[in-house]
Amino acid sequence: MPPLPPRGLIVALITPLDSRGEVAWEALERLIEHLLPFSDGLLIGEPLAGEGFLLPGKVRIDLFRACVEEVRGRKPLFLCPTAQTSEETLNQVAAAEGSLSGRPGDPPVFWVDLPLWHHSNRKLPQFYEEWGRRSLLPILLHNHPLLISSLNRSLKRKNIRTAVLKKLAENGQIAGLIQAGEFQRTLHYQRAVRRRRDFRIYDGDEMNFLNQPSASGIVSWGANLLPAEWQEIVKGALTPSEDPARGLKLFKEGRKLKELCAAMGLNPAASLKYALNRLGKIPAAATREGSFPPASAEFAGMEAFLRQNFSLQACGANDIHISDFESRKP
Amino acid sequence: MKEILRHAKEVIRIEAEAVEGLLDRIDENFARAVATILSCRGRVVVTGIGKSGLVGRKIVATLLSTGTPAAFLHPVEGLHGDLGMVSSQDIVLAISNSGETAELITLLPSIRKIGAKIISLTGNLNSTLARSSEVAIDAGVEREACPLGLAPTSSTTAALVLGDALAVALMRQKKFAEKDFALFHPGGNLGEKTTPRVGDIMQPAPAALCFSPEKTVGEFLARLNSQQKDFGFILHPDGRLAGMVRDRDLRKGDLGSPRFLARPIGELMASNPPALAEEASGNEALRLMVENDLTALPVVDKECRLRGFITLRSLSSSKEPR
Repeated sequence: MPPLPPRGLIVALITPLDSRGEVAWEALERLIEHLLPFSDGLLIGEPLAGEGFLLPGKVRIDLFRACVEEVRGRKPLFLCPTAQTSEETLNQVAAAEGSLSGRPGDPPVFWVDLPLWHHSNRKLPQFYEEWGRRSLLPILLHNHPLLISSLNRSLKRKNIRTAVLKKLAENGQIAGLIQAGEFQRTLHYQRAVRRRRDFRIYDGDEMNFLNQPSASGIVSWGANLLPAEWQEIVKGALTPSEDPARGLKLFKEGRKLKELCAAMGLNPAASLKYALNRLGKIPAAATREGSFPPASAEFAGMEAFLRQNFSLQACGANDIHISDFESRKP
Repeated sequence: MKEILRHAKEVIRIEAEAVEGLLDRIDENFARAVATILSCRGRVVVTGIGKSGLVGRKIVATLLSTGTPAAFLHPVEGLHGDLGMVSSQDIVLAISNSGETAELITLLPSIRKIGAKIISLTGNLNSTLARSSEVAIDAGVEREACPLGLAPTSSTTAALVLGDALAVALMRQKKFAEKDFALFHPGGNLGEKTTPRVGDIMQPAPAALCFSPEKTVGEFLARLNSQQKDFGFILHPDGRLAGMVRDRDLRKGDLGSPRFLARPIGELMASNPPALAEEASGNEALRLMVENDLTALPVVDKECRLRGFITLRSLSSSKEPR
């Protein structure tokens, strides 16, 4: 029986890059060590915060391997192998599976795939049957209509159809779904997979979780920056308590996290890297070429958030200015 | 305005979804819980804290009114002595969404020592509470409707619904009938609708001891003793009810005096006693008896002629549960 994905906080890890745009491996290790105690799992190569789709296939495999070796089975890992086509995705799965064999310990590893990025709703169940022939690791589906709409294909559906999800849930290898779309659809999805009691539906939209938390948990971008606050909020949501002191604390932290959501906007990689670099956690704020173009308003928002919530000097902030980012914009 | 309604509808949808989700979660454990309670010789002691405690209190009320003896135990009071209300014959129904509520978990070893069985209603089947229970009922929900987990919402709704499901399933298994419901609800409209009519349970007039007001106390006492009754009715010559005499009314008189027995009974009767029509409900009869400290009441027609009488005993035997 495949392992169950954990309930709780899954951090969609950013991919730290150096000023040349290559993965900063040491910074990655430090970031993992920093985030691991607060999280219930790490998602590597996530399309937006992790810029997974912009990393070359081989770099992504190296990234998976480095993370598996660093985590050493302490927490579950979620690896996103999604590529431009279904065939490439399956090849990526096979290559990653080969490179992960003989890894230390027995860490639970889950694939995370954004199916509509490379496939249509049609014959999706058959695609995952084929996937199952290449790898037996459990799979989480990722539904992200906003990201799919960036493909600019007019007739393409932006969401996994509910009926298709129902069919997919019959495949025991598919262990859950990360849902970043509208809330009404989330409820439809919930109903569609009700018969699978072990099926997880993580909120892929932080605002949705902060408003009406899923009992499975959240895949969070903001936890790269505020892991302790996110951990507290997720714990509070999964085990509601009626202690007024805790309630007040959750209220304050919830407000802070909503401000962070607003500050990140739709550009989590650039704004999180800006913040982490500003706090001295990563060496550079560089993003991959082709990443969502950062807007100066977003940086200004993040800068204001940082000034309000961190003692920048005490954190040893690097001397970086918004204008530096503007000039490095892809 | 639109925003308010949108939020309200969202909450209703989430909670409706949570309740509907129970259809797939409910399994043989629920049936085992019902069987365990049916075989229990004691009470169902429901416990929980915070909103789970409030839900617990409602479940107790529902169990009681549907014929399952139950009581509520506050876990903190339990730790300070109230655990004495739990016996080895009882079943403890513990409610906690997380299954890790500290006050409940602390209580579990003592309940085990007492020997009572534990049924848990929890959203976490891997929790300490679920593992310590004979039966764990899955009350998990996919999503809370309240932001930040500040207050349990869908999870308490789910627990409430499962509590109702338990009570009703028990009621069906026990073949609980209307008559039984009336027994537990003597007040209010529900009881009114289900209690019998006075005309259906009264004893007819010929079975009553009836006298004219001129008869002597001696004659009255002689018949009272021979027929082993403790009351009699006094009627006018045209059959209308004039009054009622109970044996305790006689004690008010000068029993030792030889003239007492020669007194007309009409002098000792209580005039215009409370009376009922045949259409009155058993409840109304009970209320009149309690208010007037009587154990029997005359039943009269529109002209105030005696049609029969009703006693507390006939009233209670008509309401005894099967």
